[in-house]
Amino acid sequence: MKIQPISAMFSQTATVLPNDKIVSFRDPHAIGNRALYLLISSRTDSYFQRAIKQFEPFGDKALELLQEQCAHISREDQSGFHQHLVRLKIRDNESASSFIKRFTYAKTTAEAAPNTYSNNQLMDFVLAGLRSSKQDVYRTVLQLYRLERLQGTDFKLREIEQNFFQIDEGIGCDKRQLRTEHTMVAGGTYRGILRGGRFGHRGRGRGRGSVGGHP
Amino acid sequence: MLRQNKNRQSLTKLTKELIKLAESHKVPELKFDEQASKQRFNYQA
Repeated sequence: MKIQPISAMFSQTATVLPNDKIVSFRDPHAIGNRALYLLISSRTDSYFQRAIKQFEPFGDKALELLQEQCAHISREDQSGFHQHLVRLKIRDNESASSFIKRFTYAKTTAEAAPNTYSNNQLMDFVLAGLRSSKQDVYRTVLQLYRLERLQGTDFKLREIEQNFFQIDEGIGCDKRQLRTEHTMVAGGTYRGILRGGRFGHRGRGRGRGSVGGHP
Repeated sequence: MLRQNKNRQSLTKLTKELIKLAESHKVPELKFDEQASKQRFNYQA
């Protein structure tokens, strides 16, 4: 649950979630623990409210139950999440930024499993996932990364994310500009048709006709 | 008796502040889902 930043702001509740792991209160009847229970109860649906009712008023126990029910990780999950991360590939017509977003989700899930990865391994996975892209720009960038890595340059996932984000921004700008140009050209053609085309003649004809026919 | 009242007051105050902060930070409500992967996503979101 996303209550870690909330509980961290108060000294009475900060100790229960120093990171992703739950640390039980020394005094279960502490005000912080009871307030935490009420907070959890306010941010869960009726099903979970009923599930945690057995631990009222102990917030730490309620939180443990929710973690156990929603984010339980077995040995199989550990390898499953690792496989999911390794096999992640960019989809057809997917932007690199979107792929890296999915990759980051998969990475954090795999790391929570808990799997640990070095920076180089993460680079291998993310670049391998991008390799199946059919976009020429991405393929060129991947080649450049490959060359740099062969020369011993280390990159971080954050840097790669930033670079591809900038590339996607550039692609977006180009597309917008092209669309504007197309619209302008189409607008010009349309005006041309109106002036000298079928519609223009019909207008003039109708005008003449109206002049001649209805004086 | 006086101490109990004081504790209750501070509990109310702390709870109120926690809930107010959770609302302003748009902490999503944890909802039950039959799919385990969605449930996990809901929990982590």
